[in-house]
Amino acid sequence: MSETLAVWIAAILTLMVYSYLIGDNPLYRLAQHLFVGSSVGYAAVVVIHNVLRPRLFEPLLDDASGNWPYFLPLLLGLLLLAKARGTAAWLGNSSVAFLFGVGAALAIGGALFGSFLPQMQASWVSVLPDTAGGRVAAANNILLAVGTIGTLSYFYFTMGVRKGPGTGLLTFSSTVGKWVLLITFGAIFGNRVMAYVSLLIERIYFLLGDWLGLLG
Amino acid sequence: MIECPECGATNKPESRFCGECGQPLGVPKGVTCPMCETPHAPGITVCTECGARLIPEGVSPSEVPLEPRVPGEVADAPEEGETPGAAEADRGESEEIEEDVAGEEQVKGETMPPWLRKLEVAPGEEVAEQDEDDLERGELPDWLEVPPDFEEMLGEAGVTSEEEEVARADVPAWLEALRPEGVEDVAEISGGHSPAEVTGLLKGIGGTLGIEPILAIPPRAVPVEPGTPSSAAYERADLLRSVIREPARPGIEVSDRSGVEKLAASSVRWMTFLVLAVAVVVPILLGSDWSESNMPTGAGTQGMYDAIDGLPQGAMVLVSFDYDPGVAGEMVPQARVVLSHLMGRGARLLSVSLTPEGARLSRRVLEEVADDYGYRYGEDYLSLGYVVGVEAGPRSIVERIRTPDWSDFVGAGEDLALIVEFAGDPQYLRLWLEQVQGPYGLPMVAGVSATVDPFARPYYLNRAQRQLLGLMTGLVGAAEYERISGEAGPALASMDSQSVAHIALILLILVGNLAYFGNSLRGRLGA
Repeated sequence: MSETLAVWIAAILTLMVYSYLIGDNPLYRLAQHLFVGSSVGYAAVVVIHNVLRPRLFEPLLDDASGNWPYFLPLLLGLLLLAKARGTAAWLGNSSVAFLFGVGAALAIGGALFGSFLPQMQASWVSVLPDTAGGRVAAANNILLAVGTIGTLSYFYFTMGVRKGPGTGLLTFSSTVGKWVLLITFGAIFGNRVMAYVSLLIERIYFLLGDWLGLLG
Repeated sequence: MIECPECGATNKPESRFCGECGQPLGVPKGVTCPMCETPHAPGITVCTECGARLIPEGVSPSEVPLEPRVPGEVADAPEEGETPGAAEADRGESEEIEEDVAGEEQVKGETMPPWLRKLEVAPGEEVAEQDEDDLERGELPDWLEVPPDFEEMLGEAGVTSEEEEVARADVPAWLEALRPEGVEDVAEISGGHSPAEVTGLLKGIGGTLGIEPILAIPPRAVPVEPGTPSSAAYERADLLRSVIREPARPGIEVSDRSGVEKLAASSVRWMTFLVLAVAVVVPILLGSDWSESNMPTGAGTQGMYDAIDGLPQGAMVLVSFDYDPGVAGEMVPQARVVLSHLMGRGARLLSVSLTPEGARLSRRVLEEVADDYGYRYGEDYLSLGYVVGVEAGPRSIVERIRTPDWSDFVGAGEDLALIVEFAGDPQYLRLWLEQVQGPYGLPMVAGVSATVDPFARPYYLNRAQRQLLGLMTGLVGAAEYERISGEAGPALASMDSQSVAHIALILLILVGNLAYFGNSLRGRLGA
């Protein structure tokens, strides 16, 4: 019974969302607000039950003296609440500094050794068929090198507009980079369209199968 | 800069609160009238009580109105701090004033009647000074009062007592020039900003005794040398001139569309919707299975399958479900087929999610597949739930697994054999790659939404460092995985609809472009 009710609610909400095809209307707005409200409420409950209670409150309630280091994050968290009041907002500065400091250190280190340097190394490829592993691989590597250099030169703004010995080459390279970027944006858009078609198919399956029972 | 009245800290001029102590800095002080000491709000330039001009705070001495020059002082030495050039300029000005005064003395000697000379105080004769503060408003000092024997003096001078005749005959020419002509009524004249005299020789002349002209002398203007405009300024000026001279364009005619036109415009939209809906629904209703036997397999999906298929029996695998309901249509089929493969290989699973919704969405799939393979919670698989999705989250999971607290699930010295990431957003994939895969060197594969694929593929193509051993993209990737593993599921069944929808979209784009260029060509030919 509850499963059937859930299917009906889900089907009606799906149709309410699709009513946006005829334009903005109260049904679509209602479904949108329900989605946002339920998402925020669910996230709050999950944070309380999965993060705060098992990882902070329970250790402190079980053995406060033994788990005294847990008071430090508790204090930082409480100080963070002071940010809501203008006159006492400075109390939360230390918490924000801690968050930003740790976050920035991890993010910079991770980006440097997890993305930047490995991707730089991956761009250092051979363009000779003998060492690249064949003509197709060499052509692919040439395309990769030209696209990378062109895209980088497109974002090179410090040359200025004056004519110089390397300006023509830079202009040509940045033009290549512009087209590489356009093709990339096209690929991203195409993938997005494919994703939306997949989501449409999943909803059609749900409406025809789970709701209307037309599919075996 | 504003100085804080509480702590004395210096703040920016527009600051409302002190940057040090947070005290409100308040509004700036007003201006006090130098004549009547009436306080005024900032921005007031004329006293509302006495009409005197107000000198705002912060005005430098050079901007203060000049003091009127007294003939005896004009030749004085320049004041301290005054530049020689300014002193010379003042000296030149004072010489002109001296010449004017000398001329006035000469005219005075020629035109002053005998009766007026009698009124003059002889040299050395002292006049009893009357304190001007004792005077009432409108009362004249004694030295300005008409003497009692004024009529007799006029008679001795041989003139009548008619004021008009006296004024016309004896007022100097330069003063007579100030009197308005043809005005009989004094009230008519005094309508201006300064009252006119109502009696005596100066009748009809205004502004002779007011203090306002003294305070209203404009400040000395600083000479500005004309600069040379740049070529860019000339270009902008030319552009402005051309824009101004451009003839006005006719306004865009906005005409209400007729009902038929509206229907035609919306019908194109609805036709597009209908074509897409038919392309999706018809293959589903027909139960088409063309893709199950003809669909090609991508290298990324094959790499992911191989990585999982090569796991030893009982290997510990971390699976992260980092997506939300918006992309669940793509991600749930991926998760289902990969979990089936993992459990089929006998892997022990640790599930986690960096999004709150991901934990809920994964639990249902995990329990369904676990039931199919007889997996028991706590022994064969474990759910860690939601972990806050910031940089420290993934790293803390890997660190906690290696602690003795997990000895009931993780064997001594055992490490993760593989990380399987399901990402609906690029940031979660990067978190695992940058915070776990790179620092700990753990093997990793990923199933991502189609929108994430362009951001994930460079990591998969980095063969030298093997950042991603396999990459599965969208519903298509799930279908490929189902086909490789030989388990036809919902993803593979959806592929015919996906293919037909893609063909329909391509046709719609072609038709739209043909219509656009056809209209353009027709318009060009018509012109």
